[in-house]
Amino acid sequence: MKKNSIIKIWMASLELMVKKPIVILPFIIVAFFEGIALELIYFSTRFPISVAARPIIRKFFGEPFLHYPSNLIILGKLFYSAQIVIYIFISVAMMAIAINIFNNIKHGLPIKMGALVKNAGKRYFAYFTYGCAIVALLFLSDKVETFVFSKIMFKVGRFIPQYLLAMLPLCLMLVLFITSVIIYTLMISTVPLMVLGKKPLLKSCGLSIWIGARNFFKIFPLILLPFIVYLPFTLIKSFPKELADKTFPEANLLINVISVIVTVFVDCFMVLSVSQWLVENKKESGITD
Amino acid sequence: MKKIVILLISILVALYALLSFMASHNGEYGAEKLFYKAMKMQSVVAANPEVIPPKLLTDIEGTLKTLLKKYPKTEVAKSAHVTLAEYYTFVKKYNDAASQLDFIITTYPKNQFMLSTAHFLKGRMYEAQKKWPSALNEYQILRDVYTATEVGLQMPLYIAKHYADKGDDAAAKEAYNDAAIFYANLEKKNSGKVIGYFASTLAMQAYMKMENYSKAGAILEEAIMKYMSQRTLMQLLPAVETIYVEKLKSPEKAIALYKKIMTVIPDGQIKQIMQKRIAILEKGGK
Repeated sequence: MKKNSIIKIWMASLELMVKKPIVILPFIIVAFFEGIALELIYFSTRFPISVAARPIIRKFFGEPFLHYPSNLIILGKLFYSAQIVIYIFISVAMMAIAINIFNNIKHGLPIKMGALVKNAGKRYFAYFTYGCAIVALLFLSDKVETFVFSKIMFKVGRFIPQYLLAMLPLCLMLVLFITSVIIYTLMISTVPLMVLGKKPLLKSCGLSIWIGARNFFKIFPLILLPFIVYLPFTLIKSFPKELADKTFPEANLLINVISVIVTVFVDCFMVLSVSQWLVENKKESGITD
Repeated sequence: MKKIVILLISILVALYALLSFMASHNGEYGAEKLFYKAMKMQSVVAANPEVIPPKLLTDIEGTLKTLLKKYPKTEVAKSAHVTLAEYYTFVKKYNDAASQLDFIITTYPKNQFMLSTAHFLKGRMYEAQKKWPSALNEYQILRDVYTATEVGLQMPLYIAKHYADKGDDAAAKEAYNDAAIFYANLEKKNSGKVIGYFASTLAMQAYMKMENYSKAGAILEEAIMKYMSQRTLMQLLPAVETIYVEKLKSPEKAIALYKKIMTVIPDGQIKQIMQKRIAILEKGGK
C-alpha cells in the first residue's frame, strides 16, 4: 500500500472524528465504564468497597497490597483485568455501534442512537464471542511467547552479558507488542465486516484473517501508528513499583487515567481507519454499498 | 453529545467525591500515606547521612507528629511512634527519644511487640550515648521479661556481640557462654515448641561463636531430629557441612547425619539434595 494512501486514510479518519465527533461517543461510553472500574479499584482498600475487595486482594496478592502505597502498585494489574471484562462485554459492541455511525455518515443517513443500540443488541452474542476470542488469542500468545523466551534464556542466558540480560524484559515486551499488532492485523476487520458487510461472525473472522494475510503490509502499517501511541503507556505500566519509587505512588493511577482518555481517540481512529480501508477496497472486503 | 459527555463526567466526579467522603472516615489509609511520606524522606536521609538539609529533618518530625495527632488510634500510629523515637535518637535528641519511648511503654502496656521494641530502642539510645550499663539494663529486661518476642530472644547473642565488636574477648566469651546456657535452659522449658526450636538454633550459633564446633554440631543434630520438618531442614541443613566439613574436617559425620535424616523423611527434593551431597562428600569434594 502506498504511503500516501495510508496517510489519506488516516487524514480521512481524523477529519471524520473532528467533523462528526458523534463517532467518538461509543468509545467515550467505554471510557466511562473503565473510569468507574478504575475508581472502584482505587478505593478498593478503603471502606466501603474494602468490605468486598479486601478478602479477594488478600487471597490473590497478599496482605501488604491492602495498604498504601502497595495498593497503587497492583492497581494497574487489577485495572487490566477489569479492562478485559469491559472489552468483552461492552467495547466490542460499542465498536460495532461506532462502525454503524461511520457507515450512516458515509451514506448520509440519520444517526439514531436508539436504533444503533438495538442493531448492536441483535448481534450482541456474536460481538461477545469475538471479544472472548481476541482475549483468548492474546492471552495464549502471551503465555507461549513468555514460555519460549524463558526456554531460550535458560539455554543461552549464561553467554549473554549482564547488561544485556537486564534489557530482556523490555525485549520480551516489544516482542509481545509486535505479536499483538500482528494478531490485530489479522482479526481487526472482523467487526467492520460484520457491521458493514452484514456477514455472520465465523465468516467475518475467516474473511478478516484472509484479508489481513493477503494485505498484511497494507493493514499492519495502517494500525501500527495507533498502537505505537499505546506503547509508552504499556511500558510505563509494566514497571509500577519503579514508577512509584521514582515519582510518587499516585503516578500509577494517573498513567491509567491518561491511558483511558488516550484510548478513546486511538481506538476510534484505528476502527475508522480500518473501516475506511475496507470500504475503499470493496474487492477485497466484499462490502457493497 | 455534549450533554451526554458532561453527564458521564459528572457521574464519575460524583462517584469519586462520594467514595472519597465515605473513605475519609477510615483513618488508616490517610495515616499510611503520611507514614510513607515520612519514610520516603527518611530514606533520603539514610542515603546520605553526612549531608542532611535541616528542613528535611524538620519535615520528617512534622509529618510523623501530624500523623500521630490526626490518626492516633490507627495501626500505623504504632509504627510512627517507633519511627519518631528512632528519629530522635538519630538527631541526638536523647531526652525526646527517652520521652517518646516511655510514652510507647505506657500507651501500649499489653502489646508485647511494642514494649520489646521500645526497650530495645532505649538500649540503642543509651548505646549511642556510650552509656553501656544503662543499655545493658534494657537488654536484660528484654532477655528476661520479653523472651518470647523476636527481639528478646536475640538479646543474649546481641549482648555478647557487643563485647566481641569492642574487642573485649574475655567478656565476649563469657557472654556467649551465658547465652548458650540461657538458650539451652529455654529449649528445655519449651521443648517441642517454636520457641524451643529457635532457642536451639541460637544456642548452636552461640557455640559456633565460641568456636566450640563439636557442641554446636551436637545441638544441630538434636534440633534437626527433634524439630523435623521441611522448613526446619531447609534452614538447618546448610549448617551441617559448615560445622562438620569446614570447621571439624569430618565429612563422615556430615554423611552419617544425612543418612540418619534420610531414614525418617519422605522422598522428595530434600532427600535428593542430601543424596547428591553424600555422593560429593564421599568422593572427597565440597
